[in-house]
Amino acid sequence: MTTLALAPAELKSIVDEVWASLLNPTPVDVDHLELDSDLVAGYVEISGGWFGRVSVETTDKGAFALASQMLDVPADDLSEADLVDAVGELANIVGGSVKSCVEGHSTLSLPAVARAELDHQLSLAMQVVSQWLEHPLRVRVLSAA
Amino acid sequence: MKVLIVDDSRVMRQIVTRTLRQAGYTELALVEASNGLEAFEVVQSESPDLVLSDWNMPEMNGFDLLKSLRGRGHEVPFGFVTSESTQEMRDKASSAGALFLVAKPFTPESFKEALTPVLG
Repeated sequence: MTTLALAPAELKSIVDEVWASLLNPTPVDVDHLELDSDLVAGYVEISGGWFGRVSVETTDKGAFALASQMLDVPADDLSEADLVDAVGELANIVGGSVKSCVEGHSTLSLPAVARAELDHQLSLAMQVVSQWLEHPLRVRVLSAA
Repeated sequence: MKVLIVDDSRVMRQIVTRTLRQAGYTELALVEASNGLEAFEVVQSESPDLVLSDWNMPEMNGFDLLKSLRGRGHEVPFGFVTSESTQEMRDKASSAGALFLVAKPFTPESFKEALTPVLG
C-alpha cells in the first residue's frame, strides 16, 4: 500500500503558496476556527494505493468573497455556479500539490462542492486553519483509516 | 497573436487571462473553451497560435485533446496549465508533444518563462 509522504509543515507550505498566488491580502494564521454553520467545502479525492480527500472550507459569505476576488466581479453579480467554481478550483489546486506527495500512481478527481460536513468515513490527517479578511478558511487532508 | 485558454473553471480562465496580462502579454487575442471537445472545435475555427490547456477536465481532458489534435495533423503549439505536475505527467505531456507544463499555482514569472519561446 502506498502512502502520503506529506508532513503538516509541507501542507502549510503548499497552502501558503496557493494563498499568496491567488488571494489578497494573504490569509492570516489562526490557532482555532469556528466553522460549524454555513459551511461550504470544495474538495477533490485522490485515489490509488492511498485514498484521501483534500478540502478547502469556508462559510457561504467567505465563498462569495473568494469568488468575487478570483473572478474580479462584485459579489452581488455572482451566481451559485461561480461560488462552486471558485471553492472547487481552490481545492483542485491544493489537491494537485498534495497528490504529488502520494507515492506510486494515483488519480485526482474533478472538484466538487458540499454545503454540509462531509462523511465521517475518513480521518483527519492534517489541516491548516486561517482567516481571510473576516472569513474562516480551512484546508483539510483526510485519509482513509 | 491568438491564444486559446482551455479550462473547465471560469475562475481559472479568468486568472490565466489576468496572469497573461501581468506577464506583459497585453496585446494577445484570447479565446476560451471549457473542455477538450469544445477546444478541438475552437482550434479549427479560430486557428490559435498557442493552446494553454488544463489537464483534468470533463468531456475530454487536456491530454486527450492534445492527442486528438496531433492525430488530426494539427501542430498548434500546446502547453499545459494544471494543478498536477508529477514527473510522470511532465514526461507524458512532453512525449505527446506539449511544449511545457506550468503548475498551478503559477506566477507571471512562470508564465513568462514558459511562453517566451512561443510568443516572444
